[in-house]
Amino acid sequence: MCRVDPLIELSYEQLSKAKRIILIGGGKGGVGKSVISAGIAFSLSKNYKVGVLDLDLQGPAIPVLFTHKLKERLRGDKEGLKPIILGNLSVMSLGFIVEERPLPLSGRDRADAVLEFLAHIHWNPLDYLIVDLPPGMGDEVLVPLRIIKKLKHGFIVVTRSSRLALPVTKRFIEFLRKEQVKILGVIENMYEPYLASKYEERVRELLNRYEVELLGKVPYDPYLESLLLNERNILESEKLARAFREISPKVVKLLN
Amino acid sequence: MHEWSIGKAIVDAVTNFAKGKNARRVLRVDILVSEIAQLDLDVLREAYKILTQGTLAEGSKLNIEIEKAEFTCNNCGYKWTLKDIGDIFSDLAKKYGIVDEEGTIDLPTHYMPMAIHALIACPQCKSMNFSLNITRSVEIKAIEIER
Repeated sequence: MCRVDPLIELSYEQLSKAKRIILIGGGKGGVGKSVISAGIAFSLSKNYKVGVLDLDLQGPAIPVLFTHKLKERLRGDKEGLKPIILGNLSVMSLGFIVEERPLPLSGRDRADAVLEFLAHIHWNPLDYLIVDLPPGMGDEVLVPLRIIKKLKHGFIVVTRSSRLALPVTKRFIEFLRKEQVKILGVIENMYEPYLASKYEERVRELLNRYEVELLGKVPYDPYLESLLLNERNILESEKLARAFREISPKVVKLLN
Repeated sequence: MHEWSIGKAIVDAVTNFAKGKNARRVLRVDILVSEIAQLDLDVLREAYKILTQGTLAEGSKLNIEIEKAEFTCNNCGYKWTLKDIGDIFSDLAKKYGIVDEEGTIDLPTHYMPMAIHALIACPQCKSMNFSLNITRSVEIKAIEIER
């Protein structure tokens, strides 16, 4: 088989519609990567054209966070699938395509599913594209990294003060370093002062060791679940809104 | 109906390859197209012809081979093809079909062939754990150039 790959060419062209790409991941599941993606996207969309790409093919959360009230069907055009437009936001998730059906994928099927998805989304010109990644270092992370590394990008690592999450975060940052990915910084999510005090030293060590910045602490807010249940914007939580008001300008500055 | 963007990607990939090999021109391009992607081959050929104009690939022959999908259940070993599940496939278009600008309804597999894993199951044991022989909408098999 010839090594010339039109899908790589097409993915590169589609992703080039964004001036800057922000990847959001963290290795560990359940640390709130999608909430962080949504918070930064909502926050940036007040001043910029922002795309949101949900690459969590098997547990897409972006439809719940963005378009819960939307009944519009996805549409296509000559250049591919058109994202759902919500004001300054353009949103795409596999959840819009196969709804709540499971998508069991393994091996080459998984890598090619990711590549085809990247290749066939027709983005309008964007100031920022936020890519919400699933846990782990599988194909959903490896495939886009190969392409996005050649574009203007930055990676935000999401973690939380937890004995279970921090070692995974360390491994994940190590991996990003070896892949020569630009790391914008770390966000400590679900921050709760009493619990965080137990891990302060470990978090500091992690940041110092890899010379990465703490972009901010997003507090744990029990009100978040109630907002989701009532189909409301997560930035209606004053605690979250305050955190993202501080984080987003830092992200913009670091990518400029 | 995104054959034009696929056509452009093929032309870009082929011409970049040819430039890298210091070719004078491209003579022939062989591509393999997945049956699952249900691409309109006439549109793809037309796109290729027009998009190669003024490039190293102008006038080159585009050979398209369609690869038939063959499914194998990893649970019970049953083997089947798209033809065997034709009715299910058209039923799926009603619920999951994506409408384009011209009103054509395509299955999600037109844009992402591996979405097939979310849409069908083994006709015999109903398991969703199955394999298939093709995973991509399009692949370039060979490029013939003249130096």
